[in-house]
Amino acid sequence: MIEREVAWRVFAYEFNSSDFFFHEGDERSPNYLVTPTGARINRLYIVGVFTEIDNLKSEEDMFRARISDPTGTFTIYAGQYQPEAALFLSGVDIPSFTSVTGKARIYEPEKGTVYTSVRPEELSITNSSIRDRWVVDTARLSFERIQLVRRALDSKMNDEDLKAMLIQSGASVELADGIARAIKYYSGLDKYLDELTVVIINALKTLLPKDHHPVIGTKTSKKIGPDFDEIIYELMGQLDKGEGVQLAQLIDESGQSGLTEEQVYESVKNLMSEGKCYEPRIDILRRV
Amino acid sequence: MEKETVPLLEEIIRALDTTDIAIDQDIIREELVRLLEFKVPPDEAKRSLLKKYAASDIQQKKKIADIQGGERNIEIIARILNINLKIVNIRGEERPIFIGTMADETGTISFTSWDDFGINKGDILKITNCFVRIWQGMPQINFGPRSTVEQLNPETTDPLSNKELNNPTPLAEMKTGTSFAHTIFRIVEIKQQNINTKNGPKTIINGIGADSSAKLPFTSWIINPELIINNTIEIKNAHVRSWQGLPTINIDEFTTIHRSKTVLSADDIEEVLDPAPVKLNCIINRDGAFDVIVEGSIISIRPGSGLIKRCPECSRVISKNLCRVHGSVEGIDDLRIKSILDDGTGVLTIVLDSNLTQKVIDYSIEKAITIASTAMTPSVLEDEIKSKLLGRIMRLRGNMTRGEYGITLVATDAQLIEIDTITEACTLIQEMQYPILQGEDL
Repeated sequence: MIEREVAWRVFAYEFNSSDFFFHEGDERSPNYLVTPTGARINRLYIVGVFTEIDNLKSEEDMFRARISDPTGTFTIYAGQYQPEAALFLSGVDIPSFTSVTGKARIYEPEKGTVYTSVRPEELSITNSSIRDRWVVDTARLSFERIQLVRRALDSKMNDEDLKAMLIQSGASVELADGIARAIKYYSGLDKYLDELTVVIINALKTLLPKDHHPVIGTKTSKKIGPDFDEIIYELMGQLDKGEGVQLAQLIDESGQSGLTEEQVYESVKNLMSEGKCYEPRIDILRRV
Repeated sequence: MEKETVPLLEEIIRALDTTDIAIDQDIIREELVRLLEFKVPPDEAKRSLLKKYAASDIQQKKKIADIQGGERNIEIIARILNINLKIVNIRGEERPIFIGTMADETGTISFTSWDDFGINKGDILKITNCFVRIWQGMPQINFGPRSTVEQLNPETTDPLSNKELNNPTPLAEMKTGTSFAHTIFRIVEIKQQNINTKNGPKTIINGIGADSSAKLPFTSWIINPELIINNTIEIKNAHVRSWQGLPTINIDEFTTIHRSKTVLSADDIEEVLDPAPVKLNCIINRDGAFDVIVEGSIISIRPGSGLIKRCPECSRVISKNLCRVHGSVEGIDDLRIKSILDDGTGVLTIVLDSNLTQKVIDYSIEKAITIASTAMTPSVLEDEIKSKLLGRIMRLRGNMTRGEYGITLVATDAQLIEIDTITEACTLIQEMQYPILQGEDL
């Protein structure tokens, strides 16, 4: 009996900064994408928002969809060998909350350039509370991995000793193996872990209500008042006559409320990462 | 003669030396070289010569822990832990066979004796000419008319008597197949049961023991005054067998039972009796877990969930009112959910019975039947379940077992969990910022 592969939780930011794909054993053994925090991904589970779905029809249907989480976007591809997923994608509205289990894939058009994507197994439409819970769970699990990688780097241990130490510290066998591989493969991990931590903290902040000031800010936290986001969001609703709002128009209008161009960009970015607005075409914005 | 063949030849001659057969080394060397010239792999060449010259009489002595399956012609010294008569039907002929469990100092294994050797429970035996086959995924010793069974003196040769007892093992680490289990637990449930054995009716004791690591069921084949509720007992030389997929501690006349010097109080085992959710990676490597709580995302609903029909005779799931054992029957409606629970650290299949299914989807079975008949198809329920449960966090309590369908938890309780994501996010932000702020101070 082959045991089912666990579905890893990683944010798009980390998934897309992974380029270590490996395969061991015979052709039936699974492929793995190892992320910088040592997630050894064959399967993953993501919950996010569809922001774009295209049919790249050449001879057969081939759907490409973008799913956004608060840190970035996952790209998923479904073609003739994923008929159910392709059928599903052909009938989905944008934007909508979705949950996906799928397999990690990479595309390497030339040496050194790696694009990650997901080949979906199961897709479904879901809601914002399930998405919020996914963000919390994914943040928690990513943070645990970050701490374990830091411990691994500090320990100066290798291979079997390192794995035994990590399992002792609560890692699964798969994660211990992934971390042992990641610290050999990725350079500059220390700096990357700091960046990732900030990205995850900002992702968590998107879950907090606007009037919530629970924690001391970090060096990287932006001093944008939450009210600005609200003003822009309101404006977007007022200006939208059914086809979205031009970014330039939004900047003009909000200038009257005393907002600078930079503040508008910042608020739009915040709204997008919270899944409250999206960009159907370049420089056109719409509320979700 | 090639260099590499020399050690091989020596190996063969050494092996043949242990038998009483006179051998001519020159002939063996010649034949070995010839086999190798034919590009026969060395292992096969060795096997071929051993077979030819030893008339397959070489007994390989084996310890139980080393047995993997497929071995032939092995010799085993072990103690019979239990033996039962079974009548089987072979080509229309009724025949008695004996099945049971035996143990040496390395482990326990089940066996089948195809002949009546007058074996009794507790015997120390040297059995020759055994073969090993895999039965239900586990190796099993077989012996029959071609085997010899010799009674050994238990005083001098008990394979278990010299076993040095190690420190007590926590219940969470109990492995199926252990023959000399030494552990300390508090009895949290206990009851007598009357069963029929080869030697007539017998009273056994079933119970549940707990320590600070886990709970496990135990069965005692003997009556002992220490086996009472809330006693902390220390047992040595018990053996651990799989019963309904869970490691179960078996206590018999070879087991010593003492009241433990260290007493496990109700507080010591409180966490185990009223368990907190565990991460899946902590339990899925165990042989089985008794009464645990897990929590994770429902990431897939498996086919066969929803409204199903069961055979009224045997409860098998049937389709089109045809049972594969009982033929055409009037099926009984039932509800169940089979799904994949994944918490990001591990994954297992969960099974919810009709009551729990009704609880989590908030439907009565009557309503389910009405919906299915209105929609003209029972699979509409599967879709309903998907839309209600996919992506939701579920907390379940039950027994985890490892079997031919993978790792499964049959739920005794299940509920959907909502958490306050805002509070949780705040807590996490604080935890994650702490090291960064520390870094800034430096």
